[in-house]
Amino acid sequence: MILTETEAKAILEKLISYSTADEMVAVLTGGSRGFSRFANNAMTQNVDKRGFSLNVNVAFGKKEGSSTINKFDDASLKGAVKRAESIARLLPANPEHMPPLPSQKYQKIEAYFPETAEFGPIDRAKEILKVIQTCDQKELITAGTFSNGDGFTGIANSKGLFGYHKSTSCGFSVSVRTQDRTGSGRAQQSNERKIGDINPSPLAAEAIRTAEMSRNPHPKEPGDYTVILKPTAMMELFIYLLFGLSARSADEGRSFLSDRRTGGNKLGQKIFGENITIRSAATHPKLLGTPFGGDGLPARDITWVEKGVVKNLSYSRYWAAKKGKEPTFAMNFLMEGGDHTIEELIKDTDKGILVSSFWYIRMVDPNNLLCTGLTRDGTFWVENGKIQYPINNVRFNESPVVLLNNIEKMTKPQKVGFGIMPGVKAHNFTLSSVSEAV
Amino acid sequence: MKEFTDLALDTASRKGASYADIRICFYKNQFISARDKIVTGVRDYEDSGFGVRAFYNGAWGFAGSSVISREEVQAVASLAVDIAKASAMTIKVPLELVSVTKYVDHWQTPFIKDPFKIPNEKKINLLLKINEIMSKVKGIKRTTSYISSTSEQKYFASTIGSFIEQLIMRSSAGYTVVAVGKEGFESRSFQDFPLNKGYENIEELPLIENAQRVAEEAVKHLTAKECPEGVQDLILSPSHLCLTIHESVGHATELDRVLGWEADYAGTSFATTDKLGKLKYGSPLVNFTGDRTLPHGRSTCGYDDDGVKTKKWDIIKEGILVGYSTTRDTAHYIEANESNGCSYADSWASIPILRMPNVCLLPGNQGAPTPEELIADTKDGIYIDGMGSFSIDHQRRNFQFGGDAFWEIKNGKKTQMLKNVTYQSTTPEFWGSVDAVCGEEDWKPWSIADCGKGQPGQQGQMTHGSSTIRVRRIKVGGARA
Repeated sequence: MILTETEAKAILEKLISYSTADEMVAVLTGGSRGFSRFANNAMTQNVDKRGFSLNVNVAFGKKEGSSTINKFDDASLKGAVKRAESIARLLPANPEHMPPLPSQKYQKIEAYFPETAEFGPIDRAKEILKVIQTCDQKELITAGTFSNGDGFTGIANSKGLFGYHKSTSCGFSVSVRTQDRTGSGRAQQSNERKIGDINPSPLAAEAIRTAEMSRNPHPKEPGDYTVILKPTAMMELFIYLLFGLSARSADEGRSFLSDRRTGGNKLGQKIFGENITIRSAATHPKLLGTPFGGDGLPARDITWVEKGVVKNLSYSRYWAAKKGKEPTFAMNFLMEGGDHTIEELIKDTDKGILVSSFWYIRMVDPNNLLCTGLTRDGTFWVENGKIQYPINNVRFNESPVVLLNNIEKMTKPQKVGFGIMPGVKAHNFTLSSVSEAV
Repeated sequence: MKEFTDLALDTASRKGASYADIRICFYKNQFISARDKIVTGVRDYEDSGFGVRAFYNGAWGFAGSSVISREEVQAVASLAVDIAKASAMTIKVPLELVSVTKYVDHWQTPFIKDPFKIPNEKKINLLLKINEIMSKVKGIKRTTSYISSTSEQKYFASTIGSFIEQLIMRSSAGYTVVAVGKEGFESRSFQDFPLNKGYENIEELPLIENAQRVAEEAVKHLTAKECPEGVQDLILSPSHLCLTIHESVGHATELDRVLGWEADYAGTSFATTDKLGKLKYGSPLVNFTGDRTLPHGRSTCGYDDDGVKTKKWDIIKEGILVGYSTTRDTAHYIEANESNGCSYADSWASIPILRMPNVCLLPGNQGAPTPEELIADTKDGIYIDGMGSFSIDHQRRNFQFGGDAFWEIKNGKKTQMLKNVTYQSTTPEFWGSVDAVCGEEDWKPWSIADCGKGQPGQQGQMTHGSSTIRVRRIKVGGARA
């Protein structure tokens, strides 16, 4: 349910023409999504939905108001403008109000592939059926999802800015459990643009292999261990670091990036290991993100951390103006890695734990980014350079900041969801208790 | 609406669906937020559309659209059946739907004041006043507050002949304050009871009255003593227990999870059906009900999204697992003849799935202690208030919880504040260690307003009422960076 650039522009221009406010910024989004789920070796849910959303933001001076609708007839458009304006008139001025951006130049990112949008419920069902049949033959229990869809975003403001971007996306996940309920494995691809890049059978094979390997796990005592985190596990914990990049939070003392000695932030300080470099790359060919942010700022390449040193923080337009910085935001994340494979990291380990993925990670202490969570779908004891036996899932209490100081070796980075991430070998990872969950 | 619902059901039936239903939904949301002296948003959101669900050869299909027109209703109903047919390709054991009575009815949340008719100035002034009170406390660096109002109007019709109109109204407010010092930063929140009520819920909350105390506790939190590491007795307030109940009882007893339907993401449950009527889930003092009729509960409504009339039932009785949350397509797996009415979709665009009802811990019997008596009876312990960090394994056994504020209990007295308190346990061990449940006068209906479940994710809300409890000898501390 895509609107073309011309159609989106026409609606946004009409909306802006109805406004009596000093400023308006409007964002129009829409799309369709098909989503099939399976469990216990059968399809359990199969949905298709389509819709739009139009967000209207107006300002009289520094007095702001907004409203959101999902209909575009004249009465709905006028009603949305009127509601946003009446809110703006009554609100006190926002001293942090930023005027709309002037017209911007955006990079062209080709992220729409018709074959992805056209993939239907029968197509998804056929692929799922193949995975189910494979698991049936091996007497394994499987569950998972297959989704695909398209979407667009149009942004316009009263200063003449206009941007339009459309994309397709698709993903597949598969979990496998053994009949005796003691082994499990999972594999997934998410946030892919081309349906042809989704490979259900190899993913299922990986999940099956892990499930069969992880049968009859042994408990492992809590303590500090060397861990090998596969890229998926690494990304799941890494995300909590990314949540904390706000310059304002750091400057105001509310972040792990606050410098208690100076009262400022840790920009320019080396707080991670020498081997840590983290970037955003707007046009990365494997990620194909959006060319602009929510307020119309163009996406650009940014180095956040270079050789362990914090090189950039995330600045909103207001905070950047106040601090004399360029506004920055991240559309995606890439962490540089090494030249190894997971197998080589295993071979290099005397004693350690191989972690396939994590589950239910939550922040415990934002002062130091201490997080807790559990391993899931394949945890193994490694000794003398080999996987020796599966172990029960374990709860950890660890900070990604500590982890990024303890990394010894890394694999080549690979795409995981919206980022590019290596697998890592790191020491002194703290495990707190054993979980019997499979 | 009848014109559209009839058209959808007729189209689905003609295309071969053995059962179909349609929900036409109209949502209004308003979220007003303030940070320090700034109103950061008055967000009005209106959304409408419809979703059609079709059942074909024991499989579901679902499609939805925001365009409510005859042509679109017909196309979407037809697509729902096509999708059901695709699903049926993989079905080996067809789903069974337990029977449901035909209802033609109207139901709405009892409320006095429509929150959407209250002037925004009044709401804004309240939030700015709260922030002003908190900002005056030395050491406070950030104050945030909000008021949230939602209305959900939906028309449900099914091929069984039901036609049900419902209006569900929700109101909530809360605030958080952050203190910054040389030790770092700490927060404290006023977490209200988000209830299905009108604006009177906001007016009844002691928001202003608690603002200074909450800010002062955030500052005290900065210099509080570190949590001891070891085994301690815990006294847990209803505002804290809400989340522990949600994670370790509410989710664990959702029958779709138990059956493996959520295995790929949210996980399954240790409380499997072979343990029904046998599993010792807690001590004999532990009694839980599922209840979608609880007055003003967040999950309360007249009928669920299967068109089933809502009800109350036992989940854990005297410590034993005796029931589950069920829907029409899960109930027969425990040989039940009817659903417990737990079907819910968070949008017209979402397929109804099994969502947790209001799951509440019943208060202690006559003669049960008060919280003060419980504290006086505890030599060494920790009192925990409010919700904080939470994490539980994917079968709902191994968990770790924090909280919002903590106090040391020494020789029967609540003494100094503690910081960085976490406790780790397993579900049966924890509930089996409950040795006191306070009485009815202490029972409070705390709620969860943003529970995520399903793929794609859906938001749900539910109430978890309880009285204060004591849990003996639970492992605390040990979570350090």
